[in-house]
Amino acid sequence: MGDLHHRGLGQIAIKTSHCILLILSLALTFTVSAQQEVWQQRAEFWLDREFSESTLSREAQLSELRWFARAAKPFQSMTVRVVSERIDTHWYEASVLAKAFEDITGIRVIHEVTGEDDVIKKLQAQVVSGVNIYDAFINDSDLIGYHFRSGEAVKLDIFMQDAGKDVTLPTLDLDDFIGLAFTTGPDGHLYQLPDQQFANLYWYRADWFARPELRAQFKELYGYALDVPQNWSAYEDIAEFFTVHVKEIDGEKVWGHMDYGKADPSLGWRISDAWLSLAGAGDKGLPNGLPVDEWGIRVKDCRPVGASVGRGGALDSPAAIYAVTKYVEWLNKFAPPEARDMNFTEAGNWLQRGNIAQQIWWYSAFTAALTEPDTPIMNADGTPRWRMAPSPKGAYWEEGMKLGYQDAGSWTFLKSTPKDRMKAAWLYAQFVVSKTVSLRKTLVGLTPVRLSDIESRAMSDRAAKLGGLVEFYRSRGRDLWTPTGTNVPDYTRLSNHWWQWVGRATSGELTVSEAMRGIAESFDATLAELASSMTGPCSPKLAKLKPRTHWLIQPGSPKAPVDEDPAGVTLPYQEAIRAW
Amino acid sequence: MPGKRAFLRQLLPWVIGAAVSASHAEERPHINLVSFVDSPYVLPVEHRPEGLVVDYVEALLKRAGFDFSMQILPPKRALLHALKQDNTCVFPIERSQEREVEFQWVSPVLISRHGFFPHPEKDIGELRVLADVQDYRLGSYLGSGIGEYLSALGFDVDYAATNEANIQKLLADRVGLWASDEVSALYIASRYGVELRPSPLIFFTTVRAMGCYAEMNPKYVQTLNKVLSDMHRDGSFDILKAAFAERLKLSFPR
Repeated sequence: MGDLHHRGLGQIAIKTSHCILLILSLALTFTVSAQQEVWQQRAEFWLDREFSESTLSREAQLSELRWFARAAKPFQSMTVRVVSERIDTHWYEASVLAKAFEDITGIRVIHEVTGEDDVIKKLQAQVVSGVNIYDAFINDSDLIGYHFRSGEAVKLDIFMQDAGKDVTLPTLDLDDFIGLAFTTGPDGHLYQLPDQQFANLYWYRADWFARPELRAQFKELYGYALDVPQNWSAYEDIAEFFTVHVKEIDGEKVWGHMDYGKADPSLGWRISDAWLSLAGAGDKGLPNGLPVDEWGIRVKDCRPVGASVGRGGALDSPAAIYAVTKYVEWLNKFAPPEARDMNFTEAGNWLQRGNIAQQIWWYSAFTAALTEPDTPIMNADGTPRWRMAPSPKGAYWEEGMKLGYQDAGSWTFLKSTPKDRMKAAWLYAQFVVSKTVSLRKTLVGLTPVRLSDIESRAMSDRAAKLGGLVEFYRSRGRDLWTPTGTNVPDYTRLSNHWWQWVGRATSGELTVSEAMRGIAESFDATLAELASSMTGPCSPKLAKLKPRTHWLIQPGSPKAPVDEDPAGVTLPYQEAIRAW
Repeated sequence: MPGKRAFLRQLLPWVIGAAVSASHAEERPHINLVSFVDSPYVLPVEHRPEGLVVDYVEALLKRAGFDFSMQILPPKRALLHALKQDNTCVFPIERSQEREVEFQWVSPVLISRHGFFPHPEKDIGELRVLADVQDYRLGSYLGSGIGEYLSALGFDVDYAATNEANIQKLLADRVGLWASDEVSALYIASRYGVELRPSPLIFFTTVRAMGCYAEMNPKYVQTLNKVLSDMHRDGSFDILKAAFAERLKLSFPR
């Protein structure tokens, strides 16, 4: 009986537990399916509200979002912190995409936006202290020379195949990124993933250049057509024409040139980004000149050996002195007087006022701001009165050299970030460049990174309203306009020298030659310091000083003096953009 | 003779010791540290600076083997001192673009997070990203880098004379959210007997540094930076922070 009783109770217990399991399993199934339904609704909401413009079909978008949700499961409820500079693209990510990502994955993202200088300082602070301040940085690829030498940045190609395999988007499609050459070290490893790119291009008022009376006046004064300048002589003539001869258009004072000259770090970018490369100070080679790049730094194999002409560099070479001489001269002679005391931010808004005829190079990141309606530089139909075109080349420039600067803000991960936090941040990084999201982001911020977006129908539809941006990115130009390269071993330390020395030239305290000699010596001194603190086969090692003439008679950079004032050349817009 | 030799043997350590300590005294730099009131990082207690960052900087200078003196001044005077006087450093200041060339930097001495704090008894709407605060009046104080940051982004910022005044403004509904360094907000609120809820949105991080006289011996700065890096990595600052929180009976965020 007892046994029977026990057996009976046992059977009842088993049946009961089966029932409970069944109920639990039904409840779980119901909960899971309810959760899936909620997730599906959220995903559909974001696709409808924000990501209807995409190079993917809706099904493919949903499939990508499902992958993100699955891959993010181990990190749900985590809050990750990332930082980037303050441009429209990143504000969109911080305000809209971070929310979408949280809704899709359950990972909260605090995406801070600040000045690029502050981003670099924060990256440095994390490197120095080892404290996990951020889980990821969107840092300009200009620091690639530092990242591949310092050993502090994660090699993303290895991470994607190894520790990060389970959190790497199968449809990331690296081949679709146009800027990977900028974020790859000489060792072949990928250190950064581009998030946004913009170029520095020539900007001019196409409506003024088309006015018959101005064209006739220019032709009479200078002997050639008022069109897109192909060299610095033509740029200078056009600058003089508007500032000195035209003076006023429709009752408003106008200037033939715009720049800025306040001694602060943004003056450094102004000079290091493009003045020397456009002048032709470096060697041939893409993405950067080799063995001498546009910063005037010579490398032997991958080792920086000097920046002064005496060590084979070009920072105090005739071409570099010519570049900065023209910068100072044009700022003083042809730009609004206030420009001398302006920095990057203050000068950025000036074009919108409608009294500048041209700018030798201008950041296309401002395209969105400069296409705002109801400004003096826009037509009533929403098309711009301005165009962007290839920048004019300086007297030392030769075929095969980079043509200008391109900024590639790129996802960068430091080894001091704990692995799980890095994985969660890597998911966010991929989300904001995923094909589901990327076209919409490109249309908002106009800083494309994917070829598929550039070639999309949506970009064709917008082209007429973007002043040449789409044409540029569809051309070879996107490979010829390049960021700072790998010859620069520590961008942060070296970049300070630019503005401190050039600032003394703009203020008149030093001649340009003195300032460039000073900066070249400061670069050499910093390279010598880095030689003692950096290790590895690509760490700096100063070359012995030789007479300047030794280097100036060698082929390539540093280059001997040439005729710096050739005849001005211009081309009609359509022909000029064919150079792209 | 042996007596004389023995005397010399006894004298020798004294002579060497005196020579070493004289040379050490020559090499041992004296740094004038200047700061300003920034609760609870720098506080004047009976005319002496105290506070979390004071603890950090004292520990740093001691470990570096430097002599130092420390005084609290009004913020502008503190900056001016370090701009004009050799071997003088001001802390904790933000390393902005404009300031970059004016000092030599020892950094980071303080990493702080900034958040929005609502009235402790009021429910607020969803705050997930910075853009969500656009309908609020934000409380900050004059001279605050965070206040300026928010103003530059187009937010409605109300500036009080000091950060302490913001807790009263918040309680009186004169601001909708108090934008403050997290540790300062918790400290100030506790002094007023107010228990703040955790910030729903920690929106910004600042890294503050010690700015030293531009022409100061760069070797001193290198030494201080090296020791600072070691102290971050070996957890010295975490220990100081925990001890400070315990002293104040506060629970600081990680």
